[in-house]
Amino acid sequence: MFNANLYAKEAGYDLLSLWRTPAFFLPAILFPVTFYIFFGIVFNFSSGSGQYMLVSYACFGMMGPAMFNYATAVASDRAHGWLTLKRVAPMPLSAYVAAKYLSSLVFALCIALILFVTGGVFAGVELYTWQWLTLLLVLLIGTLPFALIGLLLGLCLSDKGAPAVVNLVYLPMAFLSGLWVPIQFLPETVQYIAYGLPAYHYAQLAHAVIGTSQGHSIWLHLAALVGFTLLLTVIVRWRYQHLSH
Amino acid sequence: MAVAHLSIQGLSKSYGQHQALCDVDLTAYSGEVLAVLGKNGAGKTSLINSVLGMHSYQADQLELLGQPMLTQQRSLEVRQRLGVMMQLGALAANLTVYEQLDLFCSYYKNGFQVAELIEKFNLNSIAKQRFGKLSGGQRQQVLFALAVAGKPDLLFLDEPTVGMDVEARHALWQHIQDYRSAGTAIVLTTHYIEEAERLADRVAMLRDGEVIAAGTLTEVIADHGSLEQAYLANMQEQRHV
Repeated sequence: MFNANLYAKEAGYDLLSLWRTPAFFLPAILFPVTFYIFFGIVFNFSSGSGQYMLVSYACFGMMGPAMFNYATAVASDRAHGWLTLKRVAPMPLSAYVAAKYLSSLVFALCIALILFVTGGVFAGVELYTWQWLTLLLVLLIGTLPFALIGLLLGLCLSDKGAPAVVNLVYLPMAFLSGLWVPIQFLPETVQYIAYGLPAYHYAQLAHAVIGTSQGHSIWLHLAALVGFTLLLTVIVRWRYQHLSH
Repeated sequence: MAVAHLSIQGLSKSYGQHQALCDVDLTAYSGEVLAVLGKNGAGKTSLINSVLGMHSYQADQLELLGQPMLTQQRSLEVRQRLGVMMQLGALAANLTVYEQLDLFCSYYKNGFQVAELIEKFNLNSIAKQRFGKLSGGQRQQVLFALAVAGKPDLLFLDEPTVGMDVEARHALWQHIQDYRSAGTAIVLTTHYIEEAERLADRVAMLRDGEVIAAGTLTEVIADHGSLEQAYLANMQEQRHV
């Protein structure tokens, strides 16, 4: 039977634990904002298109907590026996996973709001209300495959190795998907690679909201993200079941 | 009448070429403490992990609380009736003792309330402290409280008194005896022979993954005079074989 109280407590305490770890949330929030100020506003590569850079850096910023929170927290929980205690306790795995996802969403929401305000105030970004809201929704929901990547890494890596490997996945994927520099400015080969990366499709969906996507069908990007999500779910489930083999 | 809450026959576990458990037979009854003894690497933790379904294993039969475990999965219903204190059991360092207990209590349908646990295990003085700031002995106390949060019928304690001072150790022994009296079946792995001698109704000695001696405390001690002598004699005997 679904126990809402259990899910609520798991999520609340996970968030509280993260809140008490400024070493996690301060860089997670400040990193994308700093990047956006430098490369999206001060040294704007896209000829004054503050809107374009805002969306790109919002994608970049919101992928981060999803991947890092899962990868580092799950790897640490595994290493220190916390996950073992959870596995033998009568709590569904879904409560643990959902709690971490909710925490990631809260931090992603903070990042988005800070970036939106920064973009609106310092880069003169003007969007309709429905665009702000739709953009926020797409950005939040679109973090799911990145959370699953983080979860998978957390289930595979040691607590010491996880942060480094997440960076090795996160930063190149962000660059190759055109989140730092508009993808049309990158070599053609890179643009082909981007088609195989969830971050590219995530960014294109977000760009579609403000009309700055490359022009492919949003259904293509949506299908790609759903595909990545399903594939990652299957792999994560398999990995969890074979955790201690 | 004592009921078998844990029944194992022909349990084996290997990690690659290394055989961690070999054809282990064990039974733990309600209202009894089964002490599993053996040196580091003897297979004690592998035994608990196998029983809990934390990793794959082979077994002719494995029954938990009267239910045959046909796969590695342990249902939520079975887990509601289990209590586990693992050897490696750190909690979230940034949450207080109260918060950890509150979270764990929410997992159980018929378990303790947080206030009851704090009172029962005398955790008032550390309830507001973060787990990461506790001493080793205090952590063990909290982990024990979590293990019994659901009022378990079958309790696994893996080296529960490591790092505890004498006073805390004696208090924990008393709690273990109380749970035994209340009908809980307890599987206790320990390095401390005097702990096993004081608490155990039955003893099993493991060496290189094999049970080399098992029976009631009286049977195992037999004419050795003490459990320590019996332990040393059994280990020595095996070394000569």
